[in-house]
Amino acid sequence: MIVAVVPAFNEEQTILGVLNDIGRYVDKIIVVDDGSTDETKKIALGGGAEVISHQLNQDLGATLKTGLMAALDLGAEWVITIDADGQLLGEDIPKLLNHAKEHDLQAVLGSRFINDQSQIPVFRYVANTMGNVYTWLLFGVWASDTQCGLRCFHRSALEKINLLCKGMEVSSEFVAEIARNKLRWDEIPVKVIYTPYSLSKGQGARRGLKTAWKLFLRRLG
Amino acid sequence: MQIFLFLLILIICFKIWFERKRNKINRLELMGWLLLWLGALALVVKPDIASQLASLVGIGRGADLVVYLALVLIFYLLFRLVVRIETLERHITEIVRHSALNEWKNRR
Repeated sequence: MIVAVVPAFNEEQTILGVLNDIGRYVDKIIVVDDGSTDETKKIALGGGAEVISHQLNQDLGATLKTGLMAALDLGAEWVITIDADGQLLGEDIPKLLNHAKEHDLQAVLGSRFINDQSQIPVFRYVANTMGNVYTWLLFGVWASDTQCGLRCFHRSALEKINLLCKGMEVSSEFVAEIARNKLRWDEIPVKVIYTPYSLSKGQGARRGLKTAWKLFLRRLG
Repeated sequence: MQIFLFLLILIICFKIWFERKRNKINRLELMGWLLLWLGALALVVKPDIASQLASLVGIGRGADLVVYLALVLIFYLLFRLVVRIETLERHITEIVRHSALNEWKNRR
């Protein structure tokens, strides 16, 4: 069984589009509503997804962990994570899955920067590169896009990956945990659509610094 | 000024003692806080102590030593607070996740 985990915080504008887009590529969708104050939960339920609701906003890392635990609980063999802002495309899901199956991998990460398929805003590119270098410095593993929301995991990988980060720093933590557990992994190019909406959801400089600090603490701990 | 500080510190010491009476702090905390404020009291009554201590550790003025020590203490307390808050946040997350997953399982 293939289960998609979609963390969502106030995504009423895009959540239904994402559900419709990815529905045909997976067997089940779990939307983890992270204490949204808008109609995200209602819309996701209407869209046929399993919806798990945090009563308080806990941020991305905590939300993904809740979703991954639920996916394992459902008996998923493969788990996809994908953002709810509509930036990533369902059509890339089978590519990740096929790549994993063909090469007997436990984790495949999407990368927006291999082959450069999309028009990436310069400041985004710089920020992401900084994130990659920082992750490499802390954890000694290089990924071309540590911050990409589209990932594919085999059950055996998720049973080993131990997520402690609550916030955005979880993206780098995935890479760190893949390395720590010596999982078989790879990354393949995925498409990305930048809209003013999705760009507004990214990290500003202040948030970025906080993420860097938390990641540093995670490295120490 | 000296009398004012003297009274202020006495009030703080009483407040700490009451906190212990109401079981808000344990005995170790009581001792720690009292020691700190009684030290401050000693400095107020006899400011020369600071100068003597300062020259002992190679710092020019007594007032400088007091400021340095206060800074070290404040940073330590801040660190303790941050750790405490992080722990609380982690506990909150666990509770929120537990209740969200339970609610979901019951609904299914």
